Amino acid sequence: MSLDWTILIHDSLNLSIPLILAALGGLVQLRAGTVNIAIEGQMICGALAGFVASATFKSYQAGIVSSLIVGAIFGAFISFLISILKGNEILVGLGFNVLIVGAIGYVLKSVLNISGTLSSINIVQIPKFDLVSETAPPYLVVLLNGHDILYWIAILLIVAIPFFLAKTRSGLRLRSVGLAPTTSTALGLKVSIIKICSGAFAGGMAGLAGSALWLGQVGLFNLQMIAGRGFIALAAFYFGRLASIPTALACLTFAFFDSLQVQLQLMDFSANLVSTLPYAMVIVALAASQFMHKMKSRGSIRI
Amino acid sequence: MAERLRRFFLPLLPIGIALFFGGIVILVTGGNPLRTYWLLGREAFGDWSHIRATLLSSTALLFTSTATAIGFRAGIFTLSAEGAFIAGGFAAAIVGALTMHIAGWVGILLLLLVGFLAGALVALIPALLKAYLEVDEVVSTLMFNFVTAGLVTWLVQSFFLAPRMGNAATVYILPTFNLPEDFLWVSLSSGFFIALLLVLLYSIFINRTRLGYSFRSLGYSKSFARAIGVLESRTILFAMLLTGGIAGLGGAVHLTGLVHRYVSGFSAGYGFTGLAIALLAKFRPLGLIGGSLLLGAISSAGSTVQLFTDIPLDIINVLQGFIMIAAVIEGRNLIFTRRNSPRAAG
Repeated sequence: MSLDWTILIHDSLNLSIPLILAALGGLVQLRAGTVNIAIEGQMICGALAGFVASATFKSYQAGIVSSLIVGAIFGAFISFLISILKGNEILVGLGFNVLIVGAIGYVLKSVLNISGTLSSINIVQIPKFDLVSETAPPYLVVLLNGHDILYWIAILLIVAIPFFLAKTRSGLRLRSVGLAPTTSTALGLKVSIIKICSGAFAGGMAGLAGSALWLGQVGLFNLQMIAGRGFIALAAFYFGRLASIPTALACLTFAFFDSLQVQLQLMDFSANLVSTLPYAMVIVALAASQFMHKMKSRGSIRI
Repeated sequence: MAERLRRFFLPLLPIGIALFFGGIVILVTGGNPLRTYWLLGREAFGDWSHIRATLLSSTALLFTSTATAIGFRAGIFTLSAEGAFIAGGFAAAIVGALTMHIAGWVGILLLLLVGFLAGALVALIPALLKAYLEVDEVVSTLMFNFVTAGLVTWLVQSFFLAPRMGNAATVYILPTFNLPEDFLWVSLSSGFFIALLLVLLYSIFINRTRLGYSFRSLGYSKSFARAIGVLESRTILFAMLLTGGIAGLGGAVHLTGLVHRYVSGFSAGYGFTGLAIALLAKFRPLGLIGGSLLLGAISSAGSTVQLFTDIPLDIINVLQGFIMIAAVIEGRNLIFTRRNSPRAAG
């Protein structure tokens, strides 16, 4: 069996969507001066909220909206802990990740008496639609066909976020809070409020990413399903140096290696070995980007 | 005096907060928090055999928390303890299963050395990247944990699988490599005492040696460290390798003292729990011991209590997550001394 490039690229595009959504949210929050380590936990929350809502209301729209809301609430709360209660951003995030896995596992076991995997027949998946006919050129078919609404939202955001940050008043304020919190306070900006809003946005995007991860794919919720993707999204916006297109490209690269490893597993490569590929690539990519950056500008500021 | 009391009781506050919020989680899911905590307490400290189990699970945490604390002292936020612990345990398991009979402490020391080196090896790439390219160590060490876990599982399943075993495990190491079950007059694996010795060495190293001073100065302020002539890259490299090495040593001790073979699930998240302890303890040696005992008790009690009650094991993560969050919120200025407050430099 050989590699099927059309499937590979199509899968890469789909797998990159959760990463892109989460990474763009994290990018905005880091522009406001806080790194969102809790993406992983927020994705799990979003996935669960979306799953429950979708199964309860038998509608994927309800799933999408509730994952967005739940993610945003958690994002705002974590931001509150960091900016008002002055908790260390990295530790609050890591603690939240541990806590959320424990709490969801605990609730699933003690209330529903199941361990780890939730399934429902009422799940309505997000429909995928085609924009061009099958006879169109293959690259158009791969790009435009067989994707869901979140794919198009992600593409829209890749364009909209740089515009928001660069051209709008709120975007300017958000950046100034990130670059110079003290000066921003002196100028009368509500630094904490802006930070909490950016946290809510990042959390909402991560929650949406959580539902993108499963709503498009299987009718299951599993505690292990995020499997470090939150951290890959984190690495992506570090790699992209807080610019949205490079960040999205980084996500696409990681997604490519993720779908490549799935294909390689089908070709009888060891699952354990090839599943480390995306994570190893994160390290390689980070090192390469850092190396290039160092070559370009010596003595730069570290973000 | 008031300051002393405050310093003593302040670390206990996050635990109280965690128990409170954990209690709420138990309550809203229809459990009884007091009964849960009472059962956990009884399982952790009820009689000597339970205390022994608690000390055994604290042993691994003492290693990972001390390892992490060393990196933090040099201002490095390393998460490599988890991967290094696994690698150390695995490497020692392979050497212990495949080499010939080496009697007594020499053989055991060989295994511990192998564990140390394997752990340091895991930390090597992130350390080089951090020291010479300034690649963010939080992301790189975290990613490397995933890579290490996958590699080790692959190695076990492809080359070292014990025959006729249901789960992925290596063969048992030769009994001569096992740590003595009794130490002096106490019936307790000597691993615990090795861990205590390590914490003592950590304290001496950080507070009384030149290298320890350069670690602290780097953690305190980069420009200060440069001004007094600390070689930044080399110190970072050394600190990160030491973190990996000590966590790897912990893996080897866990192997020779308790598990005696490498099996999937070898580390019950010891690296991350160790990280929480190191922060909770504010890197103080006594705090590391106290924190390891506490979280060792929770994890030991949590894993046995689920055998005969309906309390799920996940309660450990719930309590731990709350402890981590509560610890940093109340100790807000103590964590990153270099950025915020000069008070906790020593």
